[in-house]
Amino acid sequence: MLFSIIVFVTMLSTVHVQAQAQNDQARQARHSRYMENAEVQHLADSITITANDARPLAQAVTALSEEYGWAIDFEDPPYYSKYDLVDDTAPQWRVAHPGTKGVTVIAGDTFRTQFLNTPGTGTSPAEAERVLDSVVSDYNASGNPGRFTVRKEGDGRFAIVDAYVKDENGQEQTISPILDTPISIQREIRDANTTIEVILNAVTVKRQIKVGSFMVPLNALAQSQVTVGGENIPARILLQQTLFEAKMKLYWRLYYDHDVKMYGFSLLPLMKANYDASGNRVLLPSR
Amino acid sequence: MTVTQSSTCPYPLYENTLNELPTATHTPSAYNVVNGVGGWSSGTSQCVTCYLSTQTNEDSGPVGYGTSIAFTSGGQVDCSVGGIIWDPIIIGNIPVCVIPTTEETAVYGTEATTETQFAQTIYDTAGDNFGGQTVTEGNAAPGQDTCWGTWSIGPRFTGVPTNPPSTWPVAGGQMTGLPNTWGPDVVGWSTTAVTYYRALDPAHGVPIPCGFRGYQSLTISCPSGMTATYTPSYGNKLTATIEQSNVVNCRNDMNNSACQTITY
Repeated sequence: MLFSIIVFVTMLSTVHVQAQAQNDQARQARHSRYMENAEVQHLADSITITANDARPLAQAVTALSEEYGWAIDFEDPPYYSKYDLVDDTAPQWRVAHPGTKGVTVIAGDTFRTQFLNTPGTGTSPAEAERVLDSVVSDYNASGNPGRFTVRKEGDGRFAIVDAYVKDENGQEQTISPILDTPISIQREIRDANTTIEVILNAVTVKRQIKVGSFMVPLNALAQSQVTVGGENIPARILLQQTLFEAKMKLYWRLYYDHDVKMYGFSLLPLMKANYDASGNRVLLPSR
Repeated sequence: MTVTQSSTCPYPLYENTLNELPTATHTPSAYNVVNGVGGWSSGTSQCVTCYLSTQTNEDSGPVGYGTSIAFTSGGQVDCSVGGIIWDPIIIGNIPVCVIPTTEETAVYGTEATTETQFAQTIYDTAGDNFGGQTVTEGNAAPGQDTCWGTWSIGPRFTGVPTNPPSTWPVAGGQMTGLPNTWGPDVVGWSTTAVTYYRALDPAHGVPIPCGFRGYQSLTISCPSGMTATYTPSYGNKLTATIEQSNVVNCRNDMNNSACQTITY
């Protein structure tokens, strides 16, 4: 009997070590596939974008934004299931912390999209909407985590927002985007940085989940005075008003991490791709 | 050079000129006067088909900041046979744009718990007052970020943000009453980023301490509307390091460095 137990424990231990080794190999392979930036290919009458990242749609949308100078905000859904997340624990950390829960990453992988590129593409909000709808539709059919929708925010601004995530049974679950949360903040003159902090804090309190300012152009925002506020207004609208009043060409990324159940809000400068005579892509600030 | 005889030129003179042609030379002269200083200076004579050049540099001496000073520049080429053959002249005014030669940084305060406000004082050898001018930040070189991973909820730090650019009035804003001082220049990670990276970096295989490093160029505006970059080409190195229980924000300026260690 004792012999049987020892054999069984040894077998379990062997199975666990094998599974762990497979996990580590999968992690390494996934990391090696990740791309620094999405690749944009100009074909005769179309453009192909190829992305590979934990958030491949966000990576593709950034490339699209740079291609045409469009302001496109992006918001993660609160992924939580094994269908949307994969283990990303470093092997050396796991060895040093046996029995401790590791960390995850969104299970994004390769995403490729192709859309019609006409001389008019990039010239009007309607064209931008057509392209974004096509890209998001391709993504939603790609098998990558999450499903998204395109929001037209006015003034040539768009948002790609979360619509569905998968639950632990693999079923799609509708999401209420966190920046749709109606909040109330005092309408007063503040610098833009403080205003953004006030908005995010109000969302944190209302939704009981941390939404923190992660990386923003601190000095420029602190130097810009805005008057933003109101009762029961979606946080998204207040953020848009803040950027509009500050006259800043920025777009946001709102990313979620299930391991710490936290959103990080970042503002990035709008860039525009320029191509030299040899076809080399150079990014310049969009003015 | 072609010599032709006009109806008023007597033959002996024409013949002499023709005889002198094979040994003719051209002599360049430069004329530069700035703020009343300078004058003519001749260069080396050369053969008539040779490349020739001459140059002078004049020092105006001390000038008032924000003023304009007069300058006149011109040149001549004197042919040993034909006399003056080229004689342009330019007269104008140069707006004076004095730039700082020294900048010192100091910790001014703490912002949003984990970020540091730095105040900078600028000088030149003449002791000029830069009050009212504007300092604008630029990106001298790509930045580095050793905290970031593709799993992160924040973007990778890639350099000093320049769009929109940050600007500070010298001796204005929060630095009113502090001569030749501009700021605050805020350097550091947000509390969200500090908490996040400390919690998750090690398990993702990224060691703590980690941090970002950026290289800041600075440009000063002048009353004439001109702007001039006064930092060295490699810029001022800005760093923010996340340690286990501290954050350390540093500003390595042209003439000194300042760091703040915040327990957080």
